[in-house]
Amino acid sequence: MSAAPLLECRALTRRFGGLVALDALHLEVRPAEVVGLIGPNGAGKTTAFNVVTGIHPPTAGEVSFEGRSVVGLRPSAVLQRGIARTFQNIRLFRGMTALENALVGRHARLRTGPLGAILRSRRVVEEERAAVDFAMELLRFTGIERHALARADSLSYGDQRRAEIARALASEPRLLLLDEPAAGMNPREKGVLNELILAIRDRGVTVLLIEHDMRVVMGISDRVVVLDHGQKIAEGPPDAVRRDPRVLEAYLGSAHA
Amino acid sequence: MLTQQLVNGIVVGSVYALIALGYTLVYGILQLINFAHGEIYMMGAYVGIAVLGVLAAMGLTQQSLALSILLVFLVPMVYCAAYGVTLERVAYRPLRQAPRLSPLISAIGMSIFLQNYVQVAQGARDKAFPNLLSLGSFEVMGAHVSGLQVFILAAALAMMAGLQLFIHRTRLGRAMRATAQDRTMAALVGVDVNRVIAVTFAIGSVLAAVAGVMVGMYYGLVNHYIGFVAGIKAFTAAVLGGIGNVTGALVGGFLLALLESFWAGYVSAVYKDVFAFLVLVVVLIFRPEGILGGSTEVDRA
Amino acid sequence: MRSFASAPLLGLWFAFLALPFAGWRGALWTGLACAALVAAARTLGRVLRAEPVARRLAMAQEAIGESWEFMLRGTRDWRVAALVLLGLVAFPWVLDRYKTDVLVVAGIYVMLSLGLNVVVGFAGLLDLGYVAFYAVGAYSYALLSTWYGLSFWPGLLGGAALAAVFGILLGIPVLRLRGDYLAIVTLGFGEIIRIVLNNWDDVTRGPNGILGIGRPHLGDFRFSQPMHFFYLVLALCLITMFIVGRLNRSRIGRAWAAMREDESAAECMGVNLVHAKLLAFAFGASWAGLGGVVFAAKQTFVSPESFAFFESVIILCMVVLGGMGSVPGVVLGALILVALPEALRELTLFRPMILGGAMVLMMVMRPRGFLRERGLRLAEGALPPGVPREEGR
Ligand SMILES: Nc1ncnc2c1ncn2[C@@H]1O[C@H](COP(=O)(O)OP(=O)(O)OP(=O)(O)O)[C@@H](O)[C@H]1O
Ligand SMILES: [Mg+2]
Repeated sequence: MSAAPLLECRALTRRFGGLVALDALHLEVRPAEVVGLIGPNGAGKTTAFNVVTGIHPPTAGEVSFEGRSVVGLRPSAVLQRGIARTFQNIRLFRGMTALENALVGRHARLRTGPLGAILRSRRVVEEERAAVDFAMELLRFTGIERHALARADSLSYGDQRRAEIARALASEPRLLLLDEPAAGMNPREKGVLNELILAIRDRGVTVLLIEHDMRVVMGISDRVVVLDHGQKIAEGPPDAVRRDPRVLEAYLGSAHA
Repeated sequence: MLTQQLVNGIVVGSVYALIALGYTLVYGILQLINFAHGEIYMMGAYVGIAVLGVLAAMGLTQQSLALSILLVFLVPMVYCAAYGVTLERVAYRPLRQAPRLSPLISAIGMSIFLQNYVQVAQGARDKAFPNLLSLGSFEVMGAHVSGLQVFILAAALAMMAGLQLFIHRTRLGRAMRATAQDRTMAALVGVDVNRVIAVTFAIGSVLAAVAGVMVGMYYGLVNHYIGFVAGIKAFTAAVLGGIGNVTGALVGGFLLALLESFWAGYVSAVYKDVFAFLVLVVVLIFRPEGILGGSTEVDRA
Repeated sequence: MRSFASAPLLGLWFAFLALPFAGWRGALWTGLACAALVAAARTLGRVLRAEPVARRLAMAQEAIGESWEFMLRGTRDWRVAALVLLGLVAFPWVLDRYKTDVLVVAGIYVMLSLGLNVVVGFAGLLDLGYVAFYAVGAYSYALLSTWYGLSFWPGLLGGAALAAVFGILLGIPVLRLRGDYLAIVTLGFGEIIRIVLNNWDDVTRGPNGILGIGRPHLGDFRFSQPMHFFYLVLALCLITMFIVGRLNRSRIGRAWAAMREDESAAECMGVNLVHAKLLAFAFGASWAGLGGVVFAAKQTFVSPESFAFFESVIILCMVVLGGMGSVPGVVLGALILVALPEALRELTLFRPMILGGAMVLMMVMRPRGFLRERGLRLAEGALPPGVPREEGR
């Protein structure tokens, strides 16, 4: 717990017009942790991911990863640094196979340029072969190997979520951002997902997890951070957070609004 | 010379602005560049000619000038509204969920189809737009201003005012704005999105029809090709003002026409059409949200 | 389409729409034709959708797809490939000069549409001014050849490079913006090139065009007959297909496809959009430039007329009808669109109209084209054996 933070957000703020989606957020994620990020709808969780990955520039504040700032980088450069993500509203490349999706995730770790692709030297073929092996290994790891050659949009909902995880892992990230991976899964699938996330951590990938399903978050997170109206209202081990009155109020309050 | 350029610019600007409004309205709601919009404008001019032909044959043009003028505008407006709505129904609605390239290709296909349909049906040669109004002319600060020019500007301003009233004062107008803000949300609160989209196309097409008839009156000649260039320029005007923004389309239309008029007067008449393109590229590089646009659309992840 | 009003009503509606343009009689015919077409399409649709027919149709479609793939896989066998090549090489000996010349034109279009396919089909960027790059290639060789006597082969490279530079310059302003803007900027650029060619008399000689462009030669051998150009174009087409196919089945092709499917997700997965877009754009443009140089050398004459907007539309149509993204599909599309007008000369007047209508129909009914792209974007043989085949669809 004393290790230097892997990801650190300081006073991170993001406005959309008059709306403050993130309000001076401080967030730390340390290596080899699973951190849960929760909060009512519209709390700013996804926005936090979007700012960290460079989709939206922050209005103010700082994001550093492994001690270096990632503010101002394009999303592709952020991925290159070692942060990969999945999307709340699944965004697989629908017309491509699961395998191809994972290979696109591997894109940043491959070197072949246009000339190499045309001449297809032995090195290029080797690289392709290794990439396919790696992607297949991830499809196996996430449990969708038998759908490797099926079009992404023909997969079941749960399998699509897993394909997104495989695609993100293909870039060998050190930090994985999961945006509601359990949404739309049945209880059995959620159980499998729990195992998967722990296995991801055991591979040495740190996980920051947005999730509404409390059993998933509370079951696997080492630490939970609660957002409401863009602000952090609580932070700590799952049990403590669960009993925090401010958290209860945020959830119940928003349920009444 | 200077005031003359100004006058010419204002007249052409009202045409650009009227067409640009159609681009902006549709873009605001569907995020689609309706490439066929320029053709609707061109067809408006042709319908105007057809109406004048019928009126002249019935001897109505001599009897009642006011009625003739009314019909010369009204019939093309009705027809173009029908064209616009049909266009949306046939070429765009089936593609609303398709990848974003599909409606664009469908739009360009429709544009080609309409343009060449008119060529086949009406011939490739220029058609004369019979002279209906001879309003004389006068001098203002050394510039030659014809009554027709005043009439065009007045008609354009009236249309724009009507549009503003429609958007801000009517239920449908409010529904339009709501749909432009967030289509799913609007549908959730009970807006009939299909109807709103159809109405948007109808309104844009009505404005284009007016522009088409005005241009026919102004230049006295029409061909099946005028929609193409006018379309590019009006789109540029819409981008210049801030696409999706109604006031922006007006500002952009007049501004582009004025700049173009000065460019043609003082720099190069041959490369007049090149100028609009340069404006487009410069705007896209330095201020893609346009003069009046807010932020550029941000992608919702 | 199903919720459409009934056929007679539709006929009436279109008769009304056509009235100002076609007159009474024309409107009547339009209405009748529309009603008949709609009724026929409906009945046909019902028959085709009926269970037994639909199943057989799906099977037939699958079978055609399979056999097509089988044929393609066949050409990878060198014996089959050699046989096909032999057949192609024999063409000019069987056909007369005129037909050979048509084939040369078709070949140039194949090159052009394969190039545009990279931009539109692979990368999903709509380029409506493609012919402008064709013009850049043709005129740059025309000028270099007539002024400095530059010969064909360096001209080929020069034309392609110059066109690529234009492609990149044009791509830069729209990089940050939605793809639609690219469409309109390229459309405008196409017009500008034409205007400049028409008016810059000192250099381009305006509408009169440039005469006396040098023909290619190889050592002492001069290309002069249609047959010679046939072989030149054939070679270039095969090279193009090879290159385009390999680009598609690589890391680059996957990045393009991802970008086409979901631009911002692709960027989050590490695809550098700037590189990917500019590469697609430059590649497409350079192929148009290449085609332009060949065209100029074949005609020995260029004028702005050859580079009208409608040319861009035709090439786009070849890509769209054949099947965006599919190399064999695009080749087929190009061949058909060159052959059809040759076969149906009476329809010349209606051709643009038909093409426009076909583009709309195609998008509405079969957005993936006649030949849907198949196969993995992977180097052949990179897939380990034992990967389970596609299940379901
Ligand atoms: N691109 C955007 N443009 C404008 N407003 C946005 C944008 N993205 C998010 N917002 C707003 O920011 C606020 C926070 O949204 P965000 O998606 O981060 O919430 P969330 O915590 O992920 O909620 P949920 O649990 O529903 O996914 C919301 O009010 C949302 O409407
Ligand atoms: Mg969210």
